[in-house]
Amino acid sequence: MEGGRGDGRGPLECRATFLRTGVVGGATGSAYLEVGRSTRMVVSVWGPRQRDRDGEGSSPHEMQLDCHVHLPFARGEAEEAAGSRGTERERTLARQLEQGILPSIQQDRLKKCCVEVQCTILESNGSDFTPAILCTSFALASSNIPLYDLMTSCTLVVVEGRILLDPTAAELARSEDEVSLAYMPSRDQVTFVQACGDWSERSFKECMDNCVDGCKKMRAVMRSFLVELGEGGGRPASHSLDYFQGGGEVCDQGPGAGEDDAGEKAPMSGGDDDEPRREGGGGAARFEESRVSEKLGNLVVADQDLDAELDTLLDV
Amino acid sequence: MATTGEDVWVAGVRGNVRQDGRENSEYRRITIQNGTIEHAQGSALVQIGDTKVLAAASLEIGEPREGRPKSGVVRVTVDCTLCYPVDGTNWRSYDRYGKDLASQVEDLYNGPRGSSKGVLDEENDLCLAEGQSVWCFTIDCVVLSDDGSLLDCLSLACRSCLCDVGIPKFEVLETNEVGPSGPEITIEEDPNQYWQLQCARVPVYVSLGLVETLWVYDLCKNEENHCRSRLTFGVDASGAIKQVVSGASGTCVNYSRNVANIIEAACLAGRKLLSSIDSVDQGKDQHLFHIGK
Amino acid sequence: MVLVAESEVVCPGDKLGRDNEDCVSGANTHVYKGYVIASTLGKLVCEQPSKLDFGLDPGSTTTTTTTTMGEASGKRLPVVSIRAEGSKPGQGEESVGALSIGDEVLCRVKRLNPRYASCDISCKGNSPLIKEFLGIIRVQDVRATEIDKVSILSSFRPGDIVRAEVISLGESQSLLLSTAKDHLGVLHAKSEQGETMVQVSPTEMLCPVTKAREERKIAQ
Repeated sequence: MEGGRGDGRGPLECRATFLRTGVVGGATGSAYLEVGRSTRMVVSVWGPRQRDRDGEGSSPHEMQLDCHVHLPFARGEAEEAAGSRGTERERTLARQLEQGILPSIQQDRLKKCCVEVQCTILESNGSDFTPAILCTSFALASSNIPLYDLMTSCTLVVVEGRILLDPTAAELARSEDEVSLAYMPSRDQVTFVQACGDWSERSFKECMDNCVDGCKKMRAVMRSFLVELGEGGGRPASHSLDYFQGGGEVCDQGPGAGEDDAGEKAPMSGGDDDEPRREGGGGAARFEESRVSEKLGNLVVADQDLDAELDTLLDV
Repeated sequence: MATTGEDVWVAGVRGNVRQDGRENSEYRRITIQNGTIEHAQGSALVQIGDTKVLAAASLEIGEPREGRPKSGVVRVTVDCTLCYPVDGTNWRSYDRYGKDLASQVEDLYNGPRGSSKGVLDEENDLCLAEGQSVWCFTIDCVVLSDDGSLLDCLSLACRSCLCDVGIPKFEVLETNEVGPSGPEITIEEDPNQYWQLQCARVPVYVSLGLVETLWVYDLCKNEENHCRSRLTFGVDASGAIKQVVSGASGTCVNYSRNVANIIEAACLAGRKLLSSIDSVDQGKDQHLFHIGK
Repeated sequence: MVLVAESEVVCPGDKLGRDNEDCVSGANTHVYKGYVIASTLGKLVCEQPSKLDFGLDPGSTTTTTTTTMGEASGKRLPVVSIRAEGSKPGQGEESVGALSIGDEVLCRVKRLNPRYASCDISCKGNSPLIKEFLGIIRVQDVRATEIDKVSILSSFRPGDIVRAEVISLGESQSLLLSTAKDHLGVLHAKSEQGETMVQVSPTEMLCPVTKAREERKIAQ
């Protein structure tokens, strides 16, 4: 399919993100994340509390990270929940979440403690892993647990030879190659990689480069949100972000297409602390103006405004 | 001065000497034995050092997966309860561990979601009637002992036992009434009328342990306990990367310095390993061959 | 020169300055590759250590602004720390409930055993922990002198509130505590009749109602 991706994004653009912290009362930290209005999840962080008796092969002094993932509305997939640990999808995601997030926590400050992460996915359109990592990282940052850095994550697919960042479920289903990774920008460390496809050494490195660029941009965005939260004196703030550029130059896997596309996207100016770039055009500008307020009702109203706006644009 | 086990191991890796005397890029002795189970269509007993896996493949005709009407189906099960001490209720956790391993090995054969065929279909025609009947392989693996590099051993065992499989010839009878499971198919019973499954493009897993800017192949269990950063690559004989799996929690790869080297190391390992294994002449009888790099 | 202005909000992972050149790492910060990096979300606090701390003569000229520091003396670098939202100044050193060796804790004795007393640790210093930890006071850690003649029953009883110090993270689930110093020990105890007891001697407490004396290891 030439041109747009169905929702008007460019290949290296990520969807609009909506974040709010402090949504679970009583938890040490919590966050609510929405991506593109069709992926929603809530993560709460509990602890640190005393470690359980587990210690299988690991030293009893170490910090333990206990991740639980719940997909309460996905039972229609006809998998029996294996005991209290949930379905295979929930277990796999919990394991991946733990692998991705653990290196960002300062474990030597939390000896013999256990930090529990409860992640509930209300709706998922696209990769489960990336929004889970972002939301958990937010919840941890707002919970005052000592961290080395914010953990960012990005998913990349190759569909019909084009690299696409932040795929929707439909794009995932058609993907020829897929890479998910979790990355700590300040230390330049990749903590989790999951990939499936067919690459040569060079093309795999290029895919990873694109993914890491997306992660770096995501950190700037997360940071701007957290700073706003911090300045608000602890009130749960809400912030909506428009589409932002996910990476630098376009890198196309199609034969001989590499150089031609570099001119299409204007390179990002400045370093890590850029404001997210606003897309021009009528529809996106309207969305930017209708700032999301505390009540979720207003968010729904904003959507309807946008749809009406798009309709009028298309009629013309 | 090295004080803990981990320090000792890291010091060894820096000096290119591991606790069993191997170099960083040396694999343990690999032994592959085909035809160990008589009644299975294909079987293999694979040993990497002290890690032993027995795999048996069985064949049947079944329905293809959704979205892949012409591709064969590969299912893998892994039973690892033999090699771990099970007391009380923790058999469940080993059950889950086995399921996780099985799904990771299956991913090697299924390939990405958007592609229309799996790995085996690139060289073999596994379709009997499009959309209705294809060859289905079920590979049952039993882990006899685990001394590290379990995914490597499992993937190698599955590949080896598939190499051993002979698929009987079939004939599709043209009938006007199509039965509930598609057109009627007769299978040749003659054991000499079969064709060998081609597995040259099937990938295997290569696990790398990462220490600072160095990497280590084929970790044994002791080393796995010390090495927090592990990555596992699914690589085929041409050096193409098919899968990447994060090996352990606590994996931290320094991106700009290390990643290119690690990718190169994994591809090289896959190519060398598989070319050594494939270059040995295989017959249908039991035989052994050893590889030590 | 510290890279971030005072009272500005920082995120985990933000660089604050070069270690031992611009500033020194304080609470809720860590050092990585020569830089001081923030560990939690909060406002930056930049404290100037006073001249007396380093034994300098009062006649030396030093800038006393809180954000900049001249490189001349090199020893009086500002200490940067992060104050999390909602915590008061001075408190919130470690706003996270993790215990380490040397911390003073308040605990309540749960069970006794001839060799140790088992307790629930509820406070670290003066701030309550998020969830209780388990601790053990072994018979040889009850006091500093004559440790082989200590009896657990004459030192603690179930229900006593004790101030103790963490001496080890322990092998199993419980932390090892000690009351060997003078200021550690029982702070509050109830007699067998349920009345709050008062201290009458360095090792005894008296129930005001029944006038019965009970032995405890009391905090001085």
